[in-house]
Amino acid sequence: MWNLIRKDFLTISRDRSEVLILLVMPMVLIAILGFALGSIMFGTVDMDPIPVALIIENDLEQDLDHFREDLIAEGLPEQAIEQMIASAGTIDPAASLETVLHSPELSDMIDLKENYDQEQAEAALATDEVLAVITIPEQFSYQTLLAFYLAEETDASIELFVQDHEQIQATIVEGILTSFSDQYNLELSMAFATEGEGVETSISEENFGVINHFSSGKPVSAFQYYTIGMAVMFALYVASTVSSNAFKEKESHVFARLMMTGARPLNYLLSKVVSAVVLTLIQLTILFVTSTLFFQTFTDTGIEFWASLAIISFVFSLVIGGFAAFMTAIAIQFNNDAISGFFSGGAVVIFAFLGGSLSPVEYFSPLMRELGNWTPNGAMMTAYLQLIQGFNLTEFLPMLYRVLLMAVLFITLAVAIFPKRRLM
Amino acid sequence: MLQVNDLHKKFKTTTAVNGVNLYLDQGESVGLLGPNGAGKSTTISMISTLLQPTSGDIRFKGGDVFKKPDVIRPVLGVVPQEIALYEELTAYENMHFFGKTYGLSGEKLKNKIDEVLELVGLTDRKKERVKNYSGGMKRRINIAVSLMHEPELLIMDEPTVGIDPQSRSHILEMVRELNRKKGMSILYTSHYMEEVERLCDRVYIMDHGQIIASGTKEELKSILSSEDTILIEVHQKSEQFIDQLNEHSLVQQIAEVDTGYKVIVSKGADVFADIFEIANASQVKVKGVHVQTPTLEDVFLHLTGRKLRD
Ligand SMILES: Nc1ncnc2c1ncn2[C@@H]1O[C@H](COP(=O)(O)OP(=O)(O)O)[C@@H](O)[C@H]1O
Ligand SMILES: [Mg+2]
Repeated sequence: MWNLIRKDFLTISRDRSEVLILLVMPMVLIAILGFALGSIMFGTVDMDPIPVALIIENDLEQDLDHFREDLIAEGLPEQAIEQMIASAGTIDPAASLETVLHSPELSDMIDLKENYDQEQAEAALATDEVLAVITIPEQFSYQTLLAFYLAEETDASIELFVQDHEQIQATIVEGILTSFSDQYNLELSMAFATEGEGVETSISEENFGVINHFSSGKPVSAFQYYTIGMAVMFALYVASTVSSNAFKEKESHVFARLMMTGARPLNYLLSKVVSAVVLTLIQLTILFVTSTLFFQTFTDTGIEFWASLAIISFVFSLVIGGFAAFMTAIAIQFNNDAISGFFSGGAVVIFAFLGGSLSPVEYFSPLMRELGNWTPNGAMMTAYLQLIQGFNLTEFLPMLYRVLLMAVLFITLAVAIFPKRRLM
Repeated sequence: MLQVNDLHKKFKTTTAVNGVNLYLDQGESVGLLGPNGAGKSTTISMISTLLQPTSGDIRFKGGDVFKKPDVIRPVLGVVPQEIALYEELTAYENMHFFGKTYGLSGEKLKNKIDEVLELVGLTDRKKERVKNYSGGMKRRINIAVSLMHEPELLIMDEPTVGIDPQSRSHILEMVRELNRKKGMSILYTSHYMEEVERLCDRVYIMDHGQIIASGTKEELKSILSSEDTILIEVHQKSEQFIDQLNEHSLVQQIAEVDTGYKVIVSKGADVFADIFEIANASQVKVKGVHVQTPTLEDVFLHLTGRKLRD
């Protein structure tokens, strides 16, 4: 088996045009697209104001009353209570957030809409009418005060929901909210710090105004995007390279010669799966590492990132292996290599387009996007991008399962099609 | 050792093999002679278990090769008619690869490669890729690969097609040594009768999917005992000359050769005077007329009315 794979590796690596297609072309394209489109991804282009819905369910007066009752129950002196309430009353999260969002610096970036309730806002988000929904939930002030003063555990948080496919806008809103919540936390601490003794010690280290990630993550740079895009696209060529190499073996009668040695047909087919897997892994490793060395694509990442990258890449290589076997089986059974030619000559580009290798799927209709996620490369691209955005493995596991299923399907078909008795 | 009984192979439109019987004993060197399209390669594919016959059976050491292909495969070496090699790999790598598929490894494999390279005379070119080889060198490596596992039976399908005379005589010499010194049994297929005459003890002559004659070289040539072969060398050829010769009652077969015509006539017939007369009448200048000892080529000509080549 290893002998068969070593031979595939040698024959393919010595074919200059194959090396060109599998390694040089994607690298050149990563460089070109990365440099050319870098600015677009980083959002320095002109942008319309981002429609954002702000929903305020928090009622400061009510929360202060509620808080007062708790303090009385704690048995604090009345004067201290009133002082505390007074200073707490000066910090209204809703008002300050509104002020920030209406500020002249932000007014041409944010188009604030305040006449929605939660349900309407979510509907608006789904139809892209707004791109983000910020909610200050009920009892937010109360929960915050509890935590700060009584050091109780709370889950007080300002919620942010963003449209995941509008990366740049989502990132902007997120940034604004983060800096707001930092400021709010600071103000709150200061207000209590001046309160005098006992208070400092009860200030918790917790942060408030935590952003609820709906489906957004870190932004993806142009180099990251196109490194992934080109990698998944050109990995598809591994499948057609392996299958047309197999057909060459058949045509030049080495396949017959091999069968005469007593080699098992299914072993041969399996060796094509493994060859394609190994070649894909080598190709992806070279592309990722080279891209990182030249363009710092994945520099600020840890071992965990690379481990997840390896897992995704391995699953991806399995489907490439399955597809290579599938095309090999067809080419050998029907004694015709049209399939490899059809695949590498046209289908790859269609797959690459659907999968988002050529232009981000953000510009696609939801149907097209869904279709893209059913191509092996598109599904894997989604997984890779989610990884880059900081999601963890469990969140793109469904994509991995989907692709594994495809791999199994292709291998099953290949075994069914491949001739087991006719050997020449 | 090998027995082929009433072998048939029908393809969609042609019957390539139509009732072939042959046998081969241990240590024999047997020739299978026939023109292109006779069905030689198809027969060999069936013997080497790559192709299922339509009917008939093939026995190796008494057992059916299709029921137990693993009996014949490890001890059979087949040199295919085509150059079945990895052109991108070097000669050494090709031999290494196929050696491994036969289960050789380590020192044993290395030594075997060296030994076979020496045998085919390519030791000093082993690091070159096959695609850069000349036709003759490719043929030699094509053979070398089949010798990696020291087969008991070596089947060679036209191993000398399209190569230089030097490579050709090297190959013939090598095959003879394998047979004589190592006792390897050989089934040698060719449409060059000189090769078969030189190498083989027994010969099968095949045409249109059938064995039309078989026996030792002497037996086959005795088919011609009642005929003489006459070579007529001429300065320029002429259709009229052939037509008139054909009409002569003692002439049986005529075939064109490079320098003139080959004519098979009844034994002892005195046709020389007639030949010159016909030549004169059709204005053909005769350079010479020779009576020849028959070759296998002449046997084929006699049996089919055609020459082996073309
Ligand atoms: N796979 C095939 N399908 C159809 N016809 C074939 C096939 N292989 C050989 N033939 C036909 O069978 C005949 C015998 O071919 P072959 O065995 O190659 O002859 P030889 O080796 O004596 O030149 C030819 O007419 C050839 O066209
Ligand atoms: Mg042939």
